[in-house]
Amino acid sequence: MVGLSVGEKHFIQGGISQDLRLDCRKRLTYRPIYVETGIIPQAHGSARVRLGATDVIASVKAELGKPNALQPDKGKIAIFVDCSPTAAPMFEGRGGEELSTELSVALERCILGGKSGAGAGIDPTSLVVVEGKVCWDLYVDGLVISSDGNLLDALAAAIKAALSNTGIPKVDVAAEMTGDEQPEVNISDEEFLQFDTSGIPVIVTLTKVGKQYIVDATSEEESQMTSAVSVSVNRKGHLINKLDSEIAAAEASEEE
Amino acid sequence: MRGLQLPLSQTQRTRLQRAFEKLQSLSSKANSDASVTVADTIPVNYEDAFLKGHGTTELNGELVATVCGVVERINKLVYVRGLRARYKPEVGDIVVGRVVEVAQKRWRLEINFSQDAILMLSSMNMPDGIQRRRTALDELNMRSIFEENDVVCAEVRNFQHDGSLQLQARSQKYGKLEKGQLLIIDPYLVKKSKSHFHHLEQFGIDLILGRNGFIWVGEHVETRDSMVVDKPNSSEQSMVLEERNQTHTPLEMRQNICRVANAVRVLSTLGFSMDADLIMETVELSSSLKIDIHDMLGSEFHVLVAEREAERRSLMGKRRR
Repeated sequence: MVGLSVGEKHFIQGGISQDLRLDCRKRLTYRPIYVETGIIPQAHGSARVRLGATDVIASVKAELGKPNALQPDKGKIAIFVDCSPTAAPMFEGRGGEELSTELSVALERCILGGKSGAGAGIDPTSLVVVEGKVCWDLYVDGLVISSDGNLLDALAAAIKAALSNTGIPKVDVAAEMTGDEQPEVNISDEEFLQFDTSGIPVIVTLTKVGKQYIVDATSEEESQMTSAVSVSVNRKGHLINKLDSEIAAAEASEEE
Repeated sequence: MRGLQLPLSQTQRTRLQRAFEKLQSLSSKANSDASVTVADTIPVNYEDAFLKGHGTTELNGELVATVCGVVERINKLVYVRGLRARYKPEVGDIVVGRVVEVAQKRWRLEINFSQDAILMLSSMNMPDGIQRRRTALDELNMRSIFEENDVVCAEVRNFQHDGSLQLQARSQKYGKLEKGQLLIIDPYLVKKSKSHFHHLEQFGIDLILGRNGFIWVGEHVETRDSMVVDKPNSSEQSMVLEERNQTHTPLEMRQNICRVANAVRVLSTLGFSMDADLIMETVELSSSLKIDIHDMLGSEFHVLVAEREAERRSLMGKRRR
C-alpha cells in the first residue's frame, strides 16, 4: 500500500465528514460492482467480482467423500481464501497468511453458521448422497487478485455468485449396500443439480473514519479508519453475524 | 484500445466504436503505419546504413520489433518506443513525486521511473528564503521540510552518471503539495507543453500535470515571493498548522476538485492525452449536462466524452483544410 502524506490524509477525512469522498461517492454509496460467473470451466462453479480496483475470484469444487462420523447426514463445506502476491507486495511469501486466515474464518462463520450449524447459508444435508457413507465435499476457494479495500464484501459476493453458478453432478447409487462396504456410485456427466443460494448472506462492511461510517472503503480510506463492523444479512433480513472486524484495523495500526 | 472495464449497453458500445473509428481515421496516416507489435518486421531500407535502437533486434536478416509500440526514426536511428512503459525523463520536465526516504542531505522520491529520483537539500529553497550554505542543523531539520510520504512537485535537473535522476525545486511554484488528491495515470498521456501548472480560476483549483503521470488536483495555494521579509511568515505558518487541523476544504471547492479529478480519470480510461483545455471542456460538458459528479465515472459519460472528442478533432481537421 502506498503511503499517504499528512495533507492527503486530512483531505480524505475532510471529504468523508462532508459526505464527498475522493471519487465523489457519498458515504453510503458502493463502487460499481461487476460480476462474471463461469470463468473457470474446470471448476464446478466460479465467479469473479470487481469492486473498483478490488478484484477477487471464487471457485467451487465438489468431490465425493465420507461424511463426518458425528454428523452422518451432512456433507462438508470448506472455505479458504488466498491473498495472492499480485494484490500487494506485502502478501508475498507468508505475508498474506494472517489476512487470509481472518477472511476465511469470517466467511465460514457467515456462510456456514455457528458451531451447531445455526444460521447456515447452505444446508449441508442437501449434500449427502448415501447417509453415513458418501457425501459431497465442497471446497470453496477465494483468490484475491487485486486489493483496493473492502475485501470481505467482495469475497462474500463472489462466493454467493460462484455457488449460484455451481452444478453438482447427479449421482446414481448402486442398489446394494451391505454393512460397511462402500457403495458404487456413478457420477453423471450430463445432469447437474443447481444449488439453492437464496439462503446465502451478503456481507456489508462499515468503516469508521473520524465520526462517520462509510461503506465500501478503498485502501486509502481503510488506512484512515479507526474500526470497522461487518454485518452479514440474508434474504429474510436476519442478521447472521456481527463481526467486529479487526482485520484492517490491525493493518492500519501496523502502519503507524 | 485496451479493453474498457465498463458495462456498456449495445447502443453505447456501437456509439463508442464509431467514435473510436472516427478518431483513428483522423489521426495522421504516418503514425498508424508505424505502430508495431512484437515480432513485426520494421520496414527499413536495408541498403542505407542504419542503427538498431531500443526495442529492435535482427532476426534472420530482418529488423524485428521486440516491444509493442510506435516506430521512431531519427536520422539513422530506428527504434521502437513502447507506450505503456515507465516514465522517460527529460531535463526540464516537471514531475510530481512522493518522498520515500529522507537520506543524508537528500530526499528520495518515487516518480514512476526505473529508479528513485533524488532531490538534494541544496536544490531546495530554505523555508526562511535566505540563500546560504546548508549547515548540519539544516540537515537534521530536513524532516520539517519534507517527510516520508509527502507529495512534492519538482523539476528534472540532470541525470547522474549512474543513470539516476536529480531534481530541483528552487522556484516557489515547486514544493510540498497538500490539500488535494493525487491521481496516477499512464505517463504517455501527458505530453510536453508550455505550462504544466494550471490555475483554474473559476474553481480556485490548482492542477499540476506531472510528466511522469502523477496528476495533482488541489486547492489553490498562493505562491509567495521568497524575497519578501519573513518574520510575519513564521507566525503565519504556525497559525496555518493549527487552522489546518480544524478547517477542512469547503464543500464547493471539494466538489470542484472531485469533478476535475473524475474528468482526468475518464480521459485516462479512454486513452486521450491530458491537456488542461481538454480537462476543462470535459468538466464543462458534465456540468452543462447536469451530470452528477459520481455519474461521471459511468459508461454514458465515457461515451459522450469520446463522441465529443471525435467531433472536436474532425472540426479541427476541417478548419485546417
